[in-house]
Amino acid sequence: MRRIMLTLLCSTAVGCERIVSVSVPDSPPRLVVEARLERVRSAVSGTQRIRLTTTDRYFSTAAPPPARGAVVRVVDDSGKVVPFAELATEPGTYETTVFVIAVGRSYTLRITYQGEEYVSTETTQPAVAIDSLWFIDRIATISPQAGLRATIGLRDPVGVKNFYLWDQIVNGRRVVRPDSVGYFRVVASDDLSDGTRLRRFQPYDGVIVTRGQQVTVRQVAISEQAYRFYSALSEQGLNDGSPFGVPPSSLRGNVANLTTPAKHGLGYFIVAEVTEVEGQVP
Amino acid sequence: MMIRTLFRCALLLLCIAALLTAQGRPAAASDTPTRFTPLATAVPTDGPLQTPVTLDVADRPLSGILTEIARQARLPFAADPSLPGMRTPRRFQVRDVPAGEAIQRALAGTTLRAMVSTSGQVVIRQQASSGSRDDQSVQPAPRVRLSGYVRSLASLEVVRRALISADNESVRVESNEDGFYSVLLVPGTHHLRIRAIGYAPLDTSITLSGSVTRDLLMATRKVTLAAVTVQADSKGDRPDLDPRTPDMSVVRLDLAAVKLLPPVLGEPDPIRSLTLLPGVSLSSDASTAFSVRGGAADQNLFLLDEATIYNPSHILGFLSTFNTDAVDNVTLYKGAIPARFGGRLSSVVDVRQREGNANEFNGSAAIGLLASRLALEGPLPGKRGSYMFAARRSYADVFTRASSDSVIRNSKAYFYDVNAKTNLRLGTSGALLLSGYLGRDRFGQGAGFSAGWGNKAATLRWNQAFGGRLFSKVTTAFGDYDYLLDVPIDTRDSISWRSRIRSLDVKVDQTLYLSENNSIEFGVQYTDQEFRPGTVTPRGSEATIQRREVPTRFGIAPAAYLGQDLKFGTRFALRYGLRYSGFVRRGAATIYRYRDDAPVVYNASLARYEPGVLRDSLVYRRGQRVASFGGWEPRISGRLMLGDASSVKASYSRTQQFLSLASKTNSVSPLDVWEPVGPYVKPLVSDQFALGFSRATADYELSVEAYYKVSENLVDFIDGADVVLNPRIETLLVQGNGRAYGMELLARRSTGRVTGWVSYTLGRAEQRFPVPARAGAALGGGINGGKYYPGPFDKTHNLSVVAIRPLGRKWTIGSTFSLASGLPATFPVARYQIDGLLVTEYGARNSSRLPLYHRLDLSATRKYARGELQLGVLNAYNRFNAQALRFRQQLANPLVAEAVQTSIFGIVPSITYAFHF
Repeated sequence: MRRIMLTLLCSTAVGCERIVSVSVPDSPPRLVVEARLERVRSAVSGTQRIRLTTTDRYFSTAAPPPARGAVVRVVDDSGKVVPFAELATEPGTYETTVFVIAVGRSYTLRITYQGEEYVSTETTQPAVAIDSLWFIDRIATISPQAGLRATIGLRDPVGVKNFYLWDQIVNGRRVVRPDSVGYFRVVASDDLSDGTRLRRFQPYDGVIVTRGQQVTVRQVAISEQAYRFYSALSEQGLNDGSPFGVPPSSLRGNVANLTTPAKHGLGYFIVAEVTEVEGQVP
Repeated sequence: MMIRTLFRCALLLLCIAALLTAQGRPAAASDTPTRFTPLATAVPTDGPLQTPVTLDVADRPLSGILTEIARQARLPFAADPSLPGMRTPRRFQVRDVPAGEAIQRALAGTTLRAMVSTSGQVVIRQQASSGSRDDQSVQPAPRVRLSGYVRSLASLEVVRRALISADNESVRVESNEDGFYSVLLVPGTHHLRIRAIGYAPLDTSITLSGSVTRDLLMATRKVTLAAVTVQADSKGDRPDLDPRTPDMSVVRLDLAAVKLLPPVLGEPDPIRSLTLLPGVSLSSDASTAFSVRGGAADQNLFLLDEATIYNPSHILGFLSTFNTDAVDNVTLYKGAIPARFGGRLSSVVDVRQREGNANEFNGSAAIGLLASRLALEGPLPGKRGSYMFAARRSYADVFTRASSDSVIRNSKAYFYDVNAKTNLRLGTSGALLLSGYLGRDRFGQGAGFSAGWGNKAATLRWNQAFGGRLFSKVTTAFGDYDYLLDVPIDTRDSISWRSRIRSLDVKVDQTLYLSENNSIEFGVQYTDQEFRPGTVTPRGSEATIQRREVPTRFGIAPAAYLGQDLKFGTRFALRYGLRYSGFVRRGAATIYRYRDDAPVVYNASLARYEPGVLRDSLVYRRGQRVASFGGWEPRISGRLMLGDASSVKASYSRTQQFLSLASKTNSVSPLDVWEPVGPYVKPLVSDQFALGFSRATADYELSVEAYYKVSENLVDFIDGADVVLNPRIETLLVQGNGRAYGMELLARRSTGRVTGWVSYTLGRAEQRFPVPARAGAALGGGINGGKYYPGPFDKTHNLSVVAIRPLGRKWTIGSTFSLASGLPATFPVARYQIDGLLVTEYGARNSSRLPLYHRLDLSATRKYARGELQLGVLNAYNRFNAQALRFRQQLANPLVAEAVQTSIFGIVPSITYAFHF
């Protein structure tokens, strides 16, 4: 609707949008946490990775600066501590090989970085099974282009609040650009569809898959606060600057700073069970 | 800091100016009474006096003969039927005789003679009338009452807010919203002058021997403009800026001038014209939602014939719902709101529909780029009243079909609206009015989603004057706004979503005219409101979405008020009032309860709000009281004359609001939902102080006002709030304070070759949303740390220049120029990456500014015998005005971010042809 309106108004001499050069203020670097600890259902793998970076100048063109030399560990609700070690080959990436997540338990992430103590707690959510994966043309009538999409079926459990995040991996690469309109993550809540059977669902309906591609769809069971985080992330990426856009706001994750509370960490800590299906496009 | 200093300087200057005017100004002669020359010696070359008239009557009183001549010639005319000889029936016959001569013939053989004023006004007087007024006025005779309606000569429609002055301004009264006036005068002959927007001043004399009811008929300005090029004495025909009235912070639009201003895609829009006035600020070129003195868009009350219009917009807000063909009065109250209005914090936009021509059938139609319009009006059978019907429909679909983009080509977008009104006269002093409005927008995209929204409003009112001193109005008004969305998820799965607000008002308003120095108004109002936030209904064989209804909220809003207008001598006038407004939230309702009574909790360690922990819920039966609120709203304003042409005015008013628009978007959208106050949402309260200076000279009217306004319990959503279909919206909102202060300047010129106005506002509008006490306020935090920050409509400087100028005999050029500070914006301070997506960390909210805004619009209107052609250009020099600045990740290079500036329109030409039949 917004797009139609804007196009209607903009079909005049100047375009509606223009890339401009703006100088923006800087702020001191902050710790950014990307800690999504996952356990694929019925698989037993002890390898988990956490990535720590810092914020950068807004108009920087470089990759995010890694946060090196942090002390990272995860403590479970029985007090067992699992240390993560920084990889020599990938600065800012911390890994363990002996951490198997249990569903329903809560875990606390503790990070000591540059003398400050960061902490975040999360409980593992049980995943919902993906019933099937196949490849058909678009089903949503508003998708602009024809072509095959990865399609899944699932049944939402009745009477339980569920929050979903979907990843799609095509030939070993995770899709981070689901649509040409903007950047966002595909998340959903069962608030309006509790207990429904979804026969044909195309989480990445903007991504056309082609013959021979190896496609994996992962369904991550996230918590309500993680869902709100990703919804806000998508909202930020989709804001089109129109009168019907939402005023911009910063994302607030779930990493607290115990040493300097005002300098809370950015990003998230998620512990989730995952179901995944894999198939080749015929 | 800077602005506060400027503000103080402005206040100081204002006081100095007022003092200087009071002391240094010589007591200038007020308007000299218009000179009358005997008709016999007047030599009019053209104009209504030369219009041929034909009349053949056998037995009609002289007054009837004269009225008929005046009607045929469309001649501004006044005569007192109590003059000797006026009631005598006689035979009279003329054929194609100029009106002036016909009047002379009719008066032949009587002691009466006709006089004509410089403005072309004809008055009948007794031959030996010199000095009689002075002789009589010294007698201590009991005063008698003159009352009635001020009406248009051409159509007999009432003229609202006309100024009636008697005996060289010694007595002044104003007609009310329904054209009724009442004045006490000593018996004898009085000179009356009546002025109103869009009408030529009417000069007449009247001889009173007892109380009398009399309609005063005014000729429209365009009739006399042909004969009189310069209306030297037309100043003060618009009481809104008149230094002599206690009105302040009020502006009335001249709708005839609005039609000459540059239109938006061919549609003249009274609401867009209002935004060219001081104190009114727009946040987007695409939206007519405006802010008055820093208030939010939902703090403006739109009344169409007293029925509430909840969303006065078409095309997602681009155009307002008010069709200029159908309305004859648009008044904006920015402060000192009279006690009879209530319900919103910042302003009242009082729009009245036309009553229609009670003399003859008239029609007009217009064909424009965006829409076509049709208007019909005429007398009811037996001349017992009149009707008006107006309709318009847009055809933007035509353009979307021509688009190369398939998504747009398949989309439909149109709106229509219908206005209708009829009035039935009940004797000479009463009327029954029925008025209605229906408007609808449709928006859709092929087999994809479709949306529709619209307003309905209806009013039934009985107006009656009792004994010329009590004017009574009994009103029932109905207002309704709804929207409907159809969203397909899949070919076999779609949802339909509906939301609505409706209200029914019953009102009784009474005005008691004790004397020209003392009138009292009082009344009661009862409103029944129903808010349906939304219902989602699944459709299709494979529906995946369940039916969900956010429960309807019910409320009643009783109110009562009493006000008095007093004048003390010629220098001081006072208007005060007291209003009590209440709101009772009633069942059926389910009210949720939260731990620590906190529906929203602030998590200081994560610097974010979280929903409160749900404890249990209470269910209320239908009609049961859930929560009730109420409060007194004092309003007071006064004026002190400084000499004859200047005055200082001061006012204080308190207003309350019991509902707010739950909007998360930058601007108001049709899909926003109204939410009433309740157990967790407190009523909005505002106090406003204003100080003003106004001055009228022969050429200009000037008004300078300074205001300071504080508001409490403004509503804002927490970041990332999912407002849509949320049954527990209280978990998403916080309430805060607002403050606004500024200085407004309006200089208007209504005479001469170039007319128009200059408006300038120096202002500041701020708000703060600290963490609520129950949510953990002790920890600090909230938006911008709970400190004041600029609101979304804050413009430090806002200048508009509006000019209308005739070009030759046929053309009129209109232009508007706007220059304003850029709106507040929120800029990034850093970025980081999450899952390969660039995430923006923003600085303090609204701490930066968009670039300067400026725009010139032009129009040219050519008059034809039966129509007019209007050419318009919006944004004439094609300025790329920033409406928003957003920051995004480049699609091609995910590590690079860019700033994108959005503007709404470039240069937009338009053409409209309107014709009358």
